[in-house]
Amino acid sequence: MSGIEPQRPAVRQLQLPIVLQQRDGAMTRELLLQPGEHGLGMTPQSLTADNVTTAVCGYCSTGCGLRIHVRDGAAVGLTPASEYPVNLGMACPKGWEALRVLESDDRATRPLLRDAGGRQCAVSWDEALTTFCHRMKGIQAAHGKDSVAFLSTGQIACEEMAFLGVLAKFGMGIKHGDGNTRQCMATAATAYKESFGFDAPPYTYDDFEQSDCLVFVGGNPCVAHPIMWERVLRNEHSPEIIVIDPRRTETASAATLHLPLAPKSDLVLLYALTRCLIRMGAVDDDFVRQHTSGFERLREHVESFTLECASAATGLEADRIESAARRIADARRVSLWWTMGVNQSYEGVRTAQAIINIALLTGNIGRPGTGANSITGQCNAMGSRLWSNTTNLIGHHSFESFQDRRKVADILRVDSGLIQTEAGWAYDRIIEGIARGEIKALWVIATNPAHSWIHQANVRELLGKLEFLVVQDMYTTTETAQLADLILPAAAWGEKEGTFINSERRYGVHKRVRRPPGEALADFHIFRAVAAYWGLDEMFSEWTDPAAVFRIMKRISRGQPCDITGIEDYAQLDRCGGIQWPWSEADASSVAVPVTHRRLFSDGEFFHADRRARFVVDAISSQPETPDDEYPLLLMTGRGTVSQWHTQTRTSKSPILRKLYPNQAYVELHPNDAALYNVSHGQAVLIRSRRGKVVANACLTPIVGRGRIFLPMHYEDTNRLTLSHFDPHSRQPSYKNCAVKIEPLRGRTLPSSSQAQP
Amino acid sequence: MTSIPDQLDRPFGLIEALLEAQQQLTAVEEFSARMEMATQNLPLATRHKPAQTSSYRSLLPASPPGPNQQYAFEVDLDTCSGCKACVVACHTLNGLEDNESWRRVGAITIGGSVPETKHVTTACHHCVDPGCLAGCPVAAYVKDPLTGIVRHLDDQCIGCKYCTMMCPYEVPSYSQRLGIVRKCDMCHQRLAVGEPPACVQACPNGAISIRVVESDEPVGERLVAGAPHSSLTRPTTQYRAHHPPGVGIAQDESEDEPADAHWPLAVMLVAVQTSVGIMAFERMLSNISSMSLHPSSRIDGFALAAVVVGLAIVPLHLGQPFRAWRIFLGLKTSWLSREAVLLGMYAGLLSLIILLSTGWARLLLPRVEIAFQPGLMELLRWATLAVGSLGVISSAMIYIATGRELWKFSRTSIRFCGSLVVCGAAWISVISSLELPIGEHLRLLALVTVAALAAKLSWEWSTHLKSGFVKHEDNLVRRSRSLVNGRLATFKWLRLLTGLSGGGLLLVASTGQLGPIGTACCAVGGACLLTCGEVAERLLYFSSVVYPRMPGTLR
Repeated sequence: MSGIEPQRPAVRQLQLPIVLQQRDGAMTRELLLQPGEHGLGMTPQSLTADNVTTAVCGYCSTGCGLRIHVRDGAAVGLTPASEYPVNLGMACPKGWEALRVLESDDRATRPLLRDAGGRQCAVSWDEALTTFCHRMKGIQAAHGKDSVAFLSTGQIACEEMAFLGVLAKFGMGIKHGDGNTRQCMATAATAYKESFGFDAPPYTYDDFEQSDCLVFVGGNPCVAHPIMWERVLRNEHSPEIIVIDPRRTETASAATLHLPLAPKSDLVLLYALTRCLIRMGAVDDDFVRQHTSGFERLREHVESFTLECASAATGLEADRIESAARRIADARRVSLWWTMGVNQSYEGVRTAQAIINIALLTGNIGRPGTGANSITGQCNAMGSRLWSNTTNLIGHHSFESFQDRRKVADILRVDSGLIQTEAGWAYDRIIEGIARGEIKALWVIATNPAHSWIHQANVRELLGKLEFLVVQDMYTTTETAQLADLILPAAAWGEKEGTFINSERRYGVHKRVRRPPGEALADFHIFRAVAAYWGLDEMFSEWTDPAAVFRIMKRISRGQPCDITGIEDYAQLDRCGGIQWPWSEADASSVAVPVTHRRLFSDGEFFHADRRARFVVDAISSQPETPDDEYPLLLMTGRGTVSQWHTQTRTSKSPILRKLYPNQAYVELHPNDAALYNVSHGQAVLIRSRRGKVVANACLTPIVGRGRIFLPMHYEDTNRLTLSHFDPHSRQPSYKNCAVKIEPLRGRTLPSSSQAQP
Repeated sequence: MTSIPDQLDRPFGLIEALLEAQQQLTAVEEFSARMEMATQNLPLATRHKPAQTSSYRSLLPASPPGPNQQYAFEVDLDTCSGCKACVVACHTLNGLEDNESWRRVGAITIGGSVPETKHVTTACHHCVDPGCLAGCPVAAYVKDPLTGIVRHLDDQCIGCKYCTMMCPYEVPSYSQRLGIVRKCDMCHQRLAVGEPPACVQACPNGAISIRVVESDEPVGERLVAGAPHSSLTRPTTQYRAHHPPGVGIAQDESEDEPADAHWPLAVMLVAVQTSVGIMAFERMLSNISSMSLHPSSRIDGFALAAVVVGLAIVPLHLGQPFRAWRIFLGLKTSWLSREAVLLGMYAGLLSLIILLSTGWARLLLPRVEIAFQPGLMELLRWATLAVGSLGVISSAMIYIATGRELWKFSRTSIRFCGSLVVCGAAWISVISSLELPIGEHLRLLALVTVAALAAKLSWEWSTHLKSGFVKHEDNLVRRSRSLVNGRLATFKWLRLLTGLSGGGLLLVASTGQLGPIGTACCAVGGACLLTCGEVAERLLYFSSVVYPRMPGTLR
């Protein structure tokens, strides 16, 4: 091994004798590094491994490979996997600390049942499961089967989602169930389904590197998906980077063109860009004629979105908009990417489709470096879209279709009469159902609605109204678990196995490398136990372990666009660095090893019956609550820092992560607005909306723009302010627009008691 | 609730089986066979090759530093997206404590027509003139002559934390568990085998690299906005950005936290200054014939007691007191070394004076008559005072040498000399009131004390105790005052109350109206309160210090 350590001269520098200067000893040796085997490089004692194995990360949808250092069978630490095709040896701080958060004191170690005195007391699994079935069946008997609902997550494995979906819907007869993916990906899924005929993000991360023009709409990958940003920086084509975002985020700063538009004027801007592109002659006529339908309607629709009209709505100079269109028109390979700025909007589906329209009409799809690409949120949001058996019948089938019900019933060997003929309620309808008294019991799995759901005070009150609230989680301290009648202690990522599907449709395996604390069980095992206690042994006789369920999933996927019948098993997924769907038996028989980076629609064939993609357009809707004299500022919410994840149930448990973000809630405010309201930097301010109030420290920064404030979603109280309104098509909450006012508080900063909860 | 419907199975043994299965770890058996096979056929050298190699070749220099060159971090601020993976990688790949990392990332807000947030990652700057090294009293720092890496010798460190004051960049950080500081060593063990430091290999954007720089390269004014003056230690890190350096405002600008109050140091300093003050007044008074004060064993004993109390408390400040015997190793550069040696000598000389003047020596050394010549004792007393004074000067220089504006010469020496005068005068008046009939000299000494105290308090009031807005005030002074009047207000009131009440009691005592015992009690109480007041002043000195620092974030 050749170092770059300079050659030491023969005569060493004069050193003090050892008795006077201890250059070695126990403390020095504590930091001694050893050459690591297994490709680890120099490794500290605590990380030395007798083996390594790769697991896909359990935070966001990037789906990085993490190299788990294993000693005596158990994980002692991790480093990013150097050869995993997603992250290429890098990880964000959350991934680096993925194991540390398992060691927290507030892990759920035994089932907790609320006693008559209102205290949550430890009980045996037997008592917990008996109570679970007894109460759920009792409520169903008294109020009808539909009086029980479940709220699931994008954080558990596909196999667990499938188990939960089949168990709850076909086994327990629960019609209404939804996932927290409603809060992040419903819009993208709905938009794709209508435009492409299937919820099919077409891209691979390689497209980040192949584009010569990347357009980011309502996305800040530098903070939300730093490892995807890594891929953007590896692009060797000196690409144009256009960022459409009201804030001048890190991503916007790195862009070649930033369009700091007025919040929620994105649809107008996109239609105006579409009009510009058509006028510039950027339309790929052949592609549009052969592979799409609805172009004439689109052309007519966007005709009224002139530069002047868009400039007035967005607050952008007309030539800036035109310049963006010109860059898109001039580039050969344009990829358009969107995230929560689009998805979490009351007209998000149409906005996403306006992005898809631009890709379609310029023919920027199916080729390297192109695509209308939704960047997903959670590690398994995509899994939820395919396998949760909520919005779609399991495997992205249709509840309404007789054939689909029949197919699924046959594969699962259940009576097709057990399968509901329509999808259940979306998340917001379930919450309304609780308010109306129609939902009496709720089973919440690995999500935290008491923090994350829009107009939170209302949700907390409603959860309190339930007759029976069951929370299945790895921690007992989440805001929702605190309200639970029964807590089922769950094993976490790293303590169980299964597959996640990342943003680019890649199935990856995560593995059981740690023992969970106490009696915590994998969600998979909890579902098995519930099935057995409910009396459904026979229905789930084949559902013995995640690998077995993966085989069932393969059968269900047969013939679907998301066909995975060609994937052999977990070992192959592991070997190949994950495999993107589709990978059918036919694919597998033609190529021995799956190609690492594959994109959809290279043949221009979409998933509608006529194989054509649709241009979908709609009228602009108005914001339900705009700033006025009383509430003069617009509140935007979103991700604060890389090291914070959602409601912080996990990221707040790592001491090193806690050092990487403001522990007290902070709000970004323009210095000129601050002067107007007499607020100084660092000062505590009271933010009020018509629904609630929040205290946060003012962070004066011009990047947020005048008349707006930005409050990260990770702090417990943020959603006390937000206005409960939704996209009419996807039912996704519109978190990023409501009217607020602020006033300075006397103290300089918040007292430590109001810190973000660990 | 209505009837309990159908049967509730209690599946026998299921839970036990699931709990048992849950504790089995099989991932390695299931998946590792392939990896073993994949690597087994490779030659040993390749098997041990780090898998990460491909990503970092361009981040290391092609050749090692030559003469007058050294390694340095280079950071591309335009490429850094603020993910902070470098911080966690440093923590993980160096096997550090739970919340320990040798890298930090702060933020700078840049205004103007195109505002932006810049993230600034910072670790040790492996300075050309490292303050930590110069300040260390026990030679626990070395600057590698070939690589320029400033290394800390963990087994040599006594945990005095002086390097945390001498380093303008807050790099060395103290570990409670170990009782020492630790700091970035540029992963020298990795560099030695051709691997880059943890932060370099973990940056997704390749924003941090290692470069070879010239040691005598001129330094800029500051590394980034708000950072300390580079002239203090000549840091080698190079920050590259399209913005000129120094543009913007750190996100934590003016967001000051109280610093460590270092109570053992505060007590030690006041005790030592009291002791030297007593000796100084003794010299002064015994050379003014009208004062009829004679050197006495009580005065010597008192001075010795004070310095011994001070020196005895110091180990409470050290994380590794048993290693402190090497404290003389830093004499060449470290004021802390000098202080320790001088004060040790001072205590020794005081002991010698007591030994000689109480007659104990006559028993031990009956034949050495020369030692008892009065002239020689005078000389010894002067010498003791000189050594003690040099000790006090060294104490002051410890803090002045940090280059911190609020600890500059004038602000430090007024406090230290002030304490010496106030406490010296107060205690000598107490001692003399025990020895002599209450009279003019007590009144005079008490008045001297109160006058000195009044002068010192009014100086303190005007420089850092008063609240409210002051025009054209220095930024650091304003921030320090805001700490004193905010989070440190308790210390402030403690300082004022003890000082004023102590002075008041001494004045009362000086009237002599309370009878001998009352007067003595009053004088002793007054002196005690005054001394506590000086300690409170010193606690504020430490805890209210603010200084330019690398950008941080809101807390």
